[in-house]
Order: sequence, then structure tokens, then C-alpha cells
Amino acid sequence: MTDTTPEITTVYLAQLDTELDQLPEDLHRDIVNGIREELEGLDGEAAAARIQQLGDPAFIAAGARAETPNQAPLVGTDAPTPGRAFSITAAVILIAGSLLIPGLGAVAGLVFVSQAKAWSRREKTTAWPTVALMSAAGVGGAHLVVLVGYLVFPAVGVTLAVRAQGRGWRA
Amino acid sequence: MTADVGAQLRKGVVEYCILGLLDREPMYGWQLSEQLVQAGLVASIGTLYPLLGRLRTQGLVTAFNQPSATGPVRKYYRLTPLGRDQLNAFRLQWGPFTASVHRLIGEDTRD
Repeated sequence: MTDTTPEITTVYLAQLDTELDQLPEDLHRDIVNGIREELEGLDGEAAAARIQQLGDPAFIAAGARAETPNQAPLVGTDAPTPGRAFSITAAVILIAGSLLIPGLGAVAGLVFVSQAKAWSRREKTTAWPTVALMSAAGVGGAHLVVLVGYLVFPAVGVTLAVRAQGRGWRA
Repeated sequence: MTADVGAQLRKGVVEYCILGLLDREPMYGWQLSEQLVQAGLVASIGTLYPLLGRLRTQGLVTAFNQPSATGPVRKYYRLTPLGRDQLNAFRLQWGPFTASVHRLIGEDTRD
């Protein structure tokens, strides 16, 4: 069967899903399902009108976060919720680690970044391809490995830190 | 004293307002959200769901799925007997409470 869901609905639900990333799983699911129900069966024009009423996904997520004070566990993990200090440590490990122990230090930093609460799933996913870039640089010779190792990873770390700092170390 | 009096007042009553709406009929998320946003009690549908989650955890509200006339199956929320008791207890206090506050602060009659 052909999926006739209008693109505006698909894009909106995907954005909402990303914005709700750090909320508890059941709450995340309830909001997305509740809004999906509301958009289901609407054509593009009707969906656009309803989306306008619903508001920006970031605004919806902010409302949900405001009503869910810090007890929200990280989605899909039983580990204690890593907070601001953990996120700062992750950024420091990525920046300093990639300079002190090229390659291994950067990977360790990225693992910490992946566990931290300060970045969205999209930001974390975007950071990882730099490892592939490092491996690819190996083909181009040692000097390229050094260039990528000493410049790209710290730059990724600084970018992530600046973004997180700008929003108070919350995703 | 907090500067945002409105936010504090909303926080104190919004859950009872949800119980009040559900006392009329079972409602789904958007239905509730539309009325509460219109009344200025929640900012968006995102604010509503954590409140519904808390009410369900406390056993005041329960959810069930029901197909709608237009097609999609919707999750409806309805009051439990415990929720109705809580709402009635709040109703009994709300009138005297607002009357007492009104007596104390009155209206500003100065020019």
C-alpha cells in the first residue's frame, strides 16, 4: 500500500521526535502518538493548518520539559542521568583527548559525548563521521592523519561545547 | 514573592481543570489541549502530556483507545472514581477559598 501521508506531516513528526529526544520514553511516545493521531488522515492543506495550531516542535518540547523537572531519565538507559558536569567533561575529553592521544582520545571523547545530555541525537550522530574521516585520511598519508586528528576532532569538540554552552548545557 | 503570579496560579489549578473537563466527557489529547490553551492554562500540547501522565500515575485519570468517526484510533482520557472524588473535594474548597481571598484583597477602589 502506498503511504499517502503528506510530506509536511512526516517532516513535522520527525522534527518533533528529535526535539523530544531527551524526555522520558513514555512521555515522548505519548506526545508523538497524540499528535500523530491528530494529523492522521489529513491532506496537506488541512495538516498545515493543524500544524500551525499545534506550534513549533521546539516550543512543544520546551513546554513538556518545563513540566518534567529534572527527574527525567535518559531515554533507553538505566544508568544515572549524566548532567551538566558530565557533558562538560565529555567536551573536554574530546578536545584534550584528541590532542594528547590522537585517535584513541578522540574516540573516547565521542563515546562520552554520546552518553551526555547536552546534545541532541542528531548532533551526536553528526559528530561520529569524523572518525571515518580520520580513517579515510590514513589513505592520504600520515600528515593528513595528523591534520585531521589535531584539527578536526578538537574543532568538533569546541563546536559542541559552544552549542551546549549557548543553551545552558541542555539539548 | 514571585513576580509571575499568573504562572503560580495556573500551576495550582490546572490539574483540577483537566479533571473538570474530563468530568464532562472522555476527551483526547488535542481536545483537552485546545480548551486549556484557549483558557490560558497551558502553553501548548507539550505542557499537557506531563500533567496527564501525573494524573494517570496518581490513579485520577485512565486512558483507553477508541476509533474516531473520521478514522484514526485515538487515545481518550477519562476520570476514575478517585479522580471524581478529588475533583469534588476541590470544588468544595474552591468557592470558599476564592471568597476568602477576595475578602482579603478586595478590589482596588483608589483613584
